Amino acid sequence: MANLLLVEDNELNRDMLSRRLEKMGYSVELAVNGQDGVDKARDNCPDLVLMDINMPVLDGWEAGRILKTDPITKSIPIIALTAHAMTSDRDKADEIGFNDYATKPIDFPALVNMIETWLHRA
Amino acid sequence: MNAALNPQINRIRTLPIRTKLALLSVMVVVSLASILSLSWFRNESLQQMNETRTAILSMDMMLLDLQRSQNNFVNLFDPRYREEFSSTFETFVERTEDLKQRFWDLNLPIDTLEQLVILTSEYQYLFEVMAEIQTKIGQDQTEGLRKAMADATQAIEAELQTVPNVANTRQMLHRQVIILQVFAQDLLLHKKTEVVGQFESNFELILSDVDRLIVDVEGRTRLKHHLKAYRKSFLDLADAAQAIGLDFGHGLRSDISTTVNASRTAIADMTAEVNVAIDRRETNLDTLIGSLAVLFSLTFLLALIFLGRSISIPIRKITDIMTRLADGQLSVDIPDQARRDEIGDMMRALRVFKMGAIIRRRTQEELRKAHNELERRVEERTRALSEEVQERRRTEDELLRAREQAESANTAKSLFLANMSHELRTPLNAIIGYSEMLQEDAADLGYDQISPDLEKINGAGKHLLGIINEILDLSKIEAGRIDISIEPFVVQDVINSVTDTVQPLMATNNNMLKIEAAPNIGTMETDVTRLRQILFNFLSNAAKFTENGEITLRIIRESDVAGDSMVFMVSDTGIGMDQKQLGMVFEPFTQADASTTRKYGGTGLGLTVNREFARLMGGEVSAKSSPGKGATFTVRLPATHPNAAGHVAHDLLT
Repeated sequence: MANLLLVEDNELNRDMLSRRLEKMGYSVELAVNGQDGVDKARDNCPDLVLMDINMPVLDGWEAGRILKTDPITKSIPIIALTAHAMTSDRDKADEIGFNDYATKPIDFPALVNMIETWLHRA
Repeated sequence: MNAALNPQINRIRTLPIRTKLALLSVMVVVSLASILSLSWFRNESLQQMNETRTAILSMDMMLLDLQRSQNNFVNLFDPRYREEFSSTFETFVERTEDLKQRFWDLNLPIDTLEQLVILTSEYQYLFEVMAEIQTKIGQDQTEGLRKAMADATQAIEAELQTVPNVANTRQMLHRQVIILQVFAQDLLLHKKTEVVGQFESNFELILSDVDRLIVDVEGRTRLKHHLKAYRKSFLDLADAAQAIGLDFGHGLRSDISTTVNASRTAIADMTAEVNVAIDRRETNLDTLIGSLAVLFSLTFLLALIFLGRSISIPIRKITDIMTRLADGQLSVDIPDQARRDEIGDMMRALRVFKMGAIIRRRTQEELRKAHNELERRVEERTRALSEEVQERRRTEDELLRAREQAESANTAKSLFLANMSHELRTPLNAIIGYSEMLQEDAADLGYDQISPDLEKINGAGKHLLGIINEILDLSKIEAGRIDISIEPFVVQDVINSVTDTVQPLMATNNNMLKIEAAPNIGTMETDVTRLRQILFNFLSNAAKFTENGEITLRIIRESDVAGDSMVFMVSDTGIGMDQKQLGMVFEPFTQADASTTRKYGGTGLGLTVNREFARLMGGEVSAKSSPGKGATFTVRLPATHPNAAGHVAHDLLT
């Protein structure tokens, strides 16, 4: 089964989302901020990254930018998870190279669809 | 005083300056002309004098010529020289006439010249007389007395040949005749007139000898006749020689010599006189010219000084008056206004200037007074105004500060709400997520009795999330942090997706959804996400307040001069609103009444968000309703955006 990296600073959301994903059969690795996410993505080369945006230490935009410019990690699909619902955010995500974009609160079945789509495309 | 005493001088004094200058110029010209003409006359006159002197000298020369002709005639007995003398004398007379004319013209003393004329006439006369005698004597033995003497000698010689040479009579007589001939030779060649006496005594001797020696009466008479003829010619010759004079001390020759000498003296005198006259005239003319030059110069100088004073004194006066006038002494007197010259003109002009200055000063004083008054008023008014301005500025500053405070307060509020909403959403995410997970777990594990409660937690969470989302949208709009993104799309596609989304809501209150779209709706340009949200809000709102009714979505494209508009109308058959409720329906947090919130749920922000979104996209919302008869909500949006609408939206916000 596919390996996912969930980068999320909020413990409750991290726990809830990871458990639901694991229930769906994914293997989920966790990172607590952008820097942690970048490190783990480099170390373990996951099949897909779910990236929260609003995080301490290094925010999701910067982490995504680093991953997408690193030749090792740039082919890994990244889905942004954001509470930001503004168009500018969507544009920014596109510009950095995020592969997709899911707004909080997460519509879980839709997120699973999205993950499957990108896993199979990769 | 002067004017009264010397009206003549005064009249000259007040002649126009240009006339004075003209007079002065004329004076200079006349002076120069007279001096120049005098000089010319002097030179001309002296030249004529010199010519006269030359003419006198030539007279002297001619006198010499006359003497030479005379001597030649006397010595050579050539009548040509007599003619030469005559023609020279004629020329001499002509010259004398010319000279006389010159003397008249030059006003020279003529006495000596007249004396010379008399002397030369005498000379000519004496010469003519002498020439006449000379001619009578004859040049040689073929002429005149000398021929007669020669003839007589020949006749005597011939007669003597006929005399019989008895006792040497012939030789003796011949010798005595030879003695006579020697006397004649002495007379003719040596001009010895004293030989006449000896000749006579010898002649007496011969006659007595002839009477004595010659017997033939006829022969004797003939010889005596010849001898007497010879004696006559000898005596005539002696007379002539006497008349001519043997040397310059005697006879005609002496007279001629005296006359010529007198003439020469006369010429010398004349030359001296003319020289004296020339010198005197030259000196006189030079003195005259010099005096004239000095006189003219002095006059000119005096006239210049007079003219200069007649100009400079009044000008100094004028300068003084002008200085005083410029200094503001307007009471100064202006003299000489009656003068007829330029000074008078200037004085009159000064009077005009003075009058003008007086008037100007009066006007200036009035002006200054008025100006001071004006300045005082302006100052007062300025003070009042500046106070007012300060007051206003204070008020303005206060207002500005108040506005800034209000704005920053509002921005702070919006930011706070946005952050708050975000912070609220994170735990809500967890609530909704976990409740969903629990529902799934409950279903999986067969705990069916707790499922409805989990469903309520999930519903409440989602409701709260909706409220928060709407607050977030509104606060973002108010904080100016919302963007719209204009893109073209097919209207029918949007309607389809919205219909799909609201279908479950329709089912909740058992309502029917009807779509009425005109066939020409086509495409439009606007922010499709916002449009979807607006339609969703209107439709879910209608579904909320309608039970077992009908909800209609009608879409129309309208065209007018401003361009195409898309009109979306959502009508329901629900409870409706009265006028008061209708007036406040788009205001935030104002559902028809508080009880409706409890009964129907919702934040009451959906319609407000719709209005703000519609404005951002350049459109408007409106509502029509009456209680119990349902409501119609309309949003009207421009179908195209010629400009970048995102900026338009920002402009509207700020």
